[in-house]
Amino acid sequence: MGGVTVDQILAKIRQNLHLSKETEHEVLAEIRTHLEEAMADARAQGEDEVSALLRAAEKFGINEASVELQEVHANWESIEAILACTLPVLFALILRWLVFAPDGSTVDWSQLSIWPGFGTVSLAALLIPFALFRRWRFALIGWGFFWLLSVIFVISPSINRW
Amino acid sequence: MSPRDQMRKGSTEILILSLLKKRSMYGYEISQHLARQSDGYFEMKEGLLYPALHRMQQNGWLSSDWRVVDGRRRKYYSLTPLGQKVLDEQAAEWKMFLEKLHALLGGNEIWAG
Repeated sequence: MGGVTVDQILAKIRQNLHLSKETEHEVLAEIRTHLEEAMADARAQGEDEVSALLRAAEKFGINEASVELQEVHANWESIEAILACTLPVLFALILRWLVFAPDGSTVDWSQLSIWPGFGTVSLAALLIPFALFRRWRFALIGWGFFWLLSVIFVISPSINRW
Repeated sequence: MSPRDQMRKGSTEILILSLLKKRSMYGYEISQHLARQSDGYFEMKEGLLYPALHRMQQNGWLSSDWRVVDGRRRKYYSLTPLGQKVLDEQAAEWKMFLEKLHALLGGNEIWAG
């Protein structure tokens, strides 16, 4: 394992991670910092660069840590993905419930614009995907698609019947 | 897994929370404190600290931010108000656990050998 580098160790860890690019990037950046700090300490004790890195990697426990990191983040990303799909749909449905009267006719837009409930729902639907999801692009696409549908239905009620 | 490993695994969260109660720390710093303050007893594979830290952050017990200190970019973890509450609860639970265990093992006799 002579001539090993931090990048090679990180590449090995990456093999066990199957997460979003953003999460992987952050996790690996944190591990890089850890290995570099451990190496600096070992070098301060007189070790050469390669043995300092090997010792840092051994103490880190690459395999055990990468398996557990995958487990922790995969679960969280699944929850995020479900929420990212569900919330835009839920908000679109609430919007439609607010916009359409029970008989299918649209509520007057001038009334809607001054109604606080409508503004609150609209703002929440706009901000939550940005605030909550690291993979906000997917949430944004879902949000845009369903809101576009709702706006089309408002502008052309005949499509709603279709 | 040895009894010591099991106890260590079960106590990782409260150890991290209690360290971060004093001030914000980054991963490597936490691992060094754990090893040093326990004379190596709580020393573990350092990488296993990160799944625990990330899980605790997901639970809302910790917050984190990247800072550049001494030319190094480090991710610092801090205790949140929820984390403080969890620490208080877990500390009380561990205290009770140790008292009961102590009583079951024979009070002071067993500690005296």
